[in-house]
Amino acid sequence: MTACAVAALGLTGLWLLPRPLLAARWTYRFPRAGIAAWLLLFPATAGALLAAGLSMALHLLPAGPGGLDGAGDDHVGGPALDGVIAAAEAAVVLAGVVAVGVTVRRAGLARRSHLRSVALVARPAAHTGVLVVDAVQPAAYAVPGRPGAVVLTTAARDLLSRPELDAVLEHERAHLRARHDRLLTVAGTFAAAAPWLPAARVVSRALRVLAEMHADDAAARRTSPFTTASALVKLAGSARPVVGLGAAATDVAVRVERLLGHAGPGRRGPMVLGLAGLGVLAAVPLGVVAAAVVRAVG
Amino acid sequence: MARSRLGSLEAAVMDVMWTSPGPLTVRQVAEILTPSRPVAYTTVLTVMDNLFRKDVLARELAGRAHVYRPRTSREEFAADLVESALSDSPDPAAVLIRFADRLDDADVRRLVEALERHRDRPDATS
Repeated sequence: MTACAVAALGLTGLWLLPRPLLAARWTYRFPRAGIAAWLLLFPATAGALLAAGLSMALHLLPAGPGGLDGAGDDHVGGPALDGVIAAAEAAVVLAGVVAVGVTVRRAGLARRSHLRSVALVARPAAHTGVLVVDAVQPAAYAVPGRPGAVVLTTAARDLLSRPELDAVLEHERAHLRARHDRLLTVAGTFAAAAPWLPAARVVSRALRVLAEMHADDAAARRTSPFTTASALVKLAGSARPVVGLGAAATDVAVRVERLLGHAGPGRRGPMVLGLAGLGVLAAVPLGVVAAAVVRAVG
Repeated sequence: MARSRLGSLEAAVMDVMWTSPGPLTVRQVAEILTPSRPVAYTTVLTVMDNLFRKDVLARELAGRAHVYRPRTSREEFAADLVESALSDSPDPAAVLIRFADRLDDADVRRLVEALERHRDRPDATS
C-alpha cells in the first residue's frame, strides 16, 4: 500500500465514519464499547494521515503507484516537499499536544479554585466525598480531580427521594471513577481548536452523551433504571428555564427514554462487528509504518 | 496537606466573618478563632489577605488597621457559586460534569408522562 492510499483511507474515514457510528444503536446499549469505538476513530483517521505523511517524508514508502522504493530524491516534490510535510506534521502534533496540555492545566486550576470556594460554604455531608451547599437552585455535579468531589445543593437534596439521591450520587461517582473528564477534556480541546472540522465536534458531543449513559447505567445498577430516570427528570425539570437552550438538554430526554426502555443489554453482534472493523482500520497506519520500517532496516 | 489545612482555615475565617454583625480586624478574627483552634496572627493575616485578593472579603482602612467585611452574604455567595457551575456557558474542558442540563417545559411534561406510564410496571421501584 502506498502512502497516498493510506492518506486517502484516513481522509475517507474522517468523512464517512462519524455518521454511521452516530447512528449505530449499539453504542447506546453498550456505552463503554461506544466510547472505545469513538476513540478508535483517532488512530483510524488522524493516525492514518500522520502515518502517511511520516512515511512520505522519511521515504519509508513509495509516494505513489510505481514510485521508487524509498531511497533517492527523484520522487514527486523532492526533498523540499519532504521538508514541508515533515514540518507541517511536527507542527500539527506539537500544536495538539500543547493545546491539550494548556486545557488540562486550565481545567485543573478552575476545578481547584471552584472547590476552594465551595469549601467556604459547604456543610459536612453524611456521604464521604460529597459537599452539600446551601442553595435554592437544585443541582448536582462532579468536580473531577484527585480526589474529585461531588457537589450537591440542599435544594436538590430536598427535591429527591432517598433512592433518587443515591442514584444521583452514584452517577457522579461513576464519572469520577471512570475519569470521564480526561476523555471529555481532550475531545473538547480538539472540538474547540478545530471548529472547521465537523468530525471533532461530533466526536466530542457523542463522547459526552455516552459518558452520561455509562454513568446512568452505574446509577441504575445501584438503584433502578426507573429511579435514575425519575431523578434525571426532577433535576433537569426543576432548574430555572433559560432562553438559549443548549443542545445538551435534548440529551437528557434521550437518556430518560433509554433508561425507561431498558430491556437488558441486547444483542452483542453489531457491537463486536463495529469494534472489530474500527480496530482493523486503526491498525492500518500502525501496520504501514511498522512494515515500512522493517523493510527499510532489513 | 498544607493546602487543605489552609482551606479549612479559610472556611473558619469566613464563618466568623459571615456571623459577625459588623466589620472585623485581623486581630479580632484571630481572637475569636483562638479558643476553638490556636492560630497565629500572621497565619490569619495571610488567609484574610488571600480572601481579599479573591474578592471574597472587602477591606478598608480604619485608623491604622484594615477592617474586613464579606462582599456578599453567605447565601448570595453559595447561590452565585452554584449559578456559575450551572451556567450554560460552553465548558469544552469539562471543568465540571453536571448531572442534568436544563429541559424545557414541553420535554419535562412528556418525560413525566413517560415516567407515570412506567410507574405501574412491576419492575419500577422508586
